[in-house]
Amino acid sequence: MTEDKLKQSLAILNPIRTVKLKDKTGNFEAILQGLLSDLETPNTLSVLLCEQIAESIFWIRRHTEEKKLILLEATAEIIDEAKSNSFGGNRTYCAEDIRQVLLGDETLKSKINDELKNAAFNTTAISFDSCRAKAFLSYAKEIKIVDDLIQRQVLNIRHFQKSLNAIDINPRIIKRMDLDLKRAERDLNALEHDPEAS
Amino acid sequence: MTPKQAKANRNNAKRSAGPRSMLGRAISSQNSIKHGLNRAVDFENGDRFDTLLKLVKDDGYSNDKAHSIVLAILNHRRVMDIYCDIYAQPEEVDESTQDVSLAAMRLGLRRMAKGSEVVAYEIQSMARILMRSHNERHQVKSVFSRIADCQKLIRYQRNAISRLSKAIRSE
Repeated sequence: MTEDKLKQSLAILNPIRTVKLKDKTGNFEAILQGLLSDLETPNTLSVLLCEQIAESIFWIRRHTEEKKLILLEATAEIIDEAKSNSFGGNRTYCAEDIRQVLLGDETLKSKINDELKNAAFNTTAISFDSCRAKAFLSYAKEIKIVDDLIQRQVLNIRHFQKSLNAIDINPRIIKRMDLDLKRAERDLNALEHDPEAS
Repeated sequence: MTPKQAKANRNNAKRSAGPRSMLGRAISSQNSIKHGLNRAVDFENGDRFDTLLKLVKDDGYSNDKAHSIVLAILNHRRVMDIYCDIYAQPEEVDESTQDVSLAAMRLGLRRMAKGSEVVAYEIQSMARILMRSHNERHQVKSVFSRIADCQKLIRYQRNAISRLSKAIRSE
């Protein structure tokens, strides 16, 4: 049933595709097909709207990844600065190390904390968490720009959602979009720093 | 080109009164265009417009409503296509500067290693590692410039999406 709907929707959409993203990961296509399979009565306008929604979701995910990268790199930079080990632009820790700590690598975290405590001229930060908090503050401007871009796409989706609701009343697709938005918001909240942790 | 020649060129260019030919003027008139979204575009003369209009009308919309919906969709696409182009624009990398930096690092390391047992291969690897960390930072910097450019298109997106919503939801 759902596959039939998807085939029907793709048959309408393929000759008139409007979104030309250079996405090698296939994320956009997966999001689009998920939305199309939930369309109750596919027609030109509804498939076009689904295509635009899929694009917005794609951008939300892409910008969320960028926000993560900025924060990870910034934290690595602050840690090196605190350790006074910035000779020649060399890095002891990279974004991947910080990601590992955030994923729960306690050994690496305590190693970083020890190094910070033992650093001779450290006046920047004394723990991993305070480095992370400092990273947020130092890149607040850039993070705000990414947040604005994400927020714009969220608002775009809300507009499309209302338009789609007006032409294809289907609670399933609205629910799916709500879930996508909730997921994006959850991802963003997970990135925010917990002040109690520092 | 030697620095002396470059300086002479710059001094000569200061005396220039700008392009004189029609073609030259037409080209230089486009110099300040950043994204072109403030320019009026005639969507109705494109093939895409006719195709979409026919299909939307086939869905049962009146001619006027289908017309405004298709115009709004194409307008939204124009903004989003430019957003995508700006985002995907490759960062200009000055390879000559990169080579100079690498050479300078090698030289510095060689001087530091003088008298010690560090071999040339190790010096080269150290320079490479330093360059890689420099490139990682460059990657984050390119994210900054991309997002800052994309931010300029937020207001165009806002206008385009409200126009599209209005076109679809109007009675």
